Amino acid sequence: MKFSPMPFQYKFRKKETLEQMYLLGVQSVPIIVVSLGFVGLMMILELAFHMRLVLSHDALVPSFSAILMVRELGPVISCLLLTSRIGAGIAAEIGSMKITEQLDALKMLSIDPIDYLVIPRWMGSVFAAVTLTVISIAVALWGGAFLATKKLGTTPGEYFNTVFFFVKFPDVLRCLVKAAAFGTLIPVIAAYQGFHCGTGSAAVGEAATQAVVKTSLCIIIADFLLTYLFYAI
Amino acid sequence: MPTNAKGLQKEFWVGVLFLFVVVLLVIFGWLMGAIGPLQSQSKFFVLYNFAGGIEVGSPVRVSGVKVGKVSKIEFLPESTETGQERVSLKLSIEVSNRAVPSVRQDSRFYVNMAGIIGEKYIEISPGSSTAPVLTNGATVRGVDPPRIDQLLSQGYGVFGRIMDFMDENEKTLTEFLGGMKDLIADANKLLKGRERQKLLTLIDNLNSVTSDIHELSSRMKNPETKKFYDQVYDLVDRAHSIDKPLIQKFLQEEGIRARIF
Repeated sequence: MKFSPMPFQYKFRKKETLEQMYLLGVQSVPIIVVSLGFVGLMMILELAFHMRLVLSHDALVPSFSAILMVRELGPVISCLLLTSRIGAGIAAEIGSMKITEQLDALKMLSIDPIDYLVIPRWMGSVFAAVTLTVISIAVALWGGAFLATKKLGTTPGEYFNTVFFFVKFPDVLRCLVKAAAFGTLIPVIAAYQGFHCGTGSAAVGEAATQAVVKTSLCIIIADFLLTYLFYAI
Repeated sequence: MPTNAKGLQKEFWVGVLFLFVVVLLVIFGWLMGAIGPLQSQSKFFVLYNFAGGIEVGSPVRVSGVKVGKVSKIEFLPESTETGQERVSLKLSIEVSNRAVPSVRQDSRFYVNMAGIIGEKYIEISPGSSTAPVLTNGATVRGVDPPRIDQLLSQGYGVFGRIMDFMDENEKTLTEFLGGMKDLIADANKLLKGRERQKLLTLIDNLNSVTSDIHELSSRMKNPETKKFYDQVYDLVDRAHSIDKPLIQKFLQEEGIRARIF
């Protein structure tokens, strides 16, 4: 057996990686912007209602909504949306390649399927998760500022001053770590479901469904674990 | 469109997305105070024994205007940096250079609280114009905020001692309070009874007497009266030298001596 200093040999496939970054990242921007924009608006309304109910005051609505968005909802909702959009696609694509014996063909050509199919998708998914999370936070904050100006009577300056008093840059960095972790889970679980797909077209559909369900579940569990690691220990 | 052109288009959009996110992160970092590449700042070290809830990142204000933040908190278990006084905390604060001219050597560094949930910040009071400006890297002693826990603890101690005293002297205190009650009841009876009119008359007379005394003392301070007394004194003094025994007898008999001497 030939000795290899690395656990696995990896060849960087620029074309495939850029293709996946474009498909997973750039093409997901509209759905993330629209969804998270409305999430930001909804949070302002909900928190304003609850704060008026409990505290009879809504001065802290911007900061609480921003903290919730940066620490939890930004990465989680973005990656759940990303899962529903790309997780099923990855599982179905790899599953159909398996049942049509394209994976075997790759192996015959001495191309590692993990190297060729999974790694570019993993890079694209991490890139998409991180970039889309940052954009989602920016959109939600901007939407929140707009609604707070209209409904709560604050000025944009007051809104962002309150937000950035409570939200610190380490929170944003931890949010990016979360996004990268969720971005890793999506292609890994989806590819696993694709590689372990049964025979027949129904099995491909089942693999796609299972990929979305399991990835969503894993993202929520991983979110709890990371939140515990970052803020509770 | 050729395949190569399509690939370049994708590369372009991936690059745009990446750059856009980097710009957003830089803006977040700048707004959250993590980076400030265009700001020039001075650094000061403030010593406290009790920081009162200040954390890394807490704002620093001069005259109520945010001009910096707390960048580092160090524990100094053996430090005596301000002479003989032992301090336990060293806070590194960054202050924008535009505010530094207001930070003088006699400026005071308070730990204050703002907002409805009490966020903590360091307030620097501008020093006097005669004091020199605090130099970059200077170490100053901050004003320790009051410790609410200590105050409560001392309050509990005082209340405990009062309770002990009351338990030990319960009988005496009861008797004292009973006596006070009787005294007040008697005074009340006196004020409400038949003697009330006499008391009021007495008070009126006292008012009248004090008014007369006041008027008399005012007249005594009159320059003309003073001049008169001086003349009488001079006259008596000269007469005294003429016939001392006779004059003394005269004065004693007439009772004038008492008025003058």
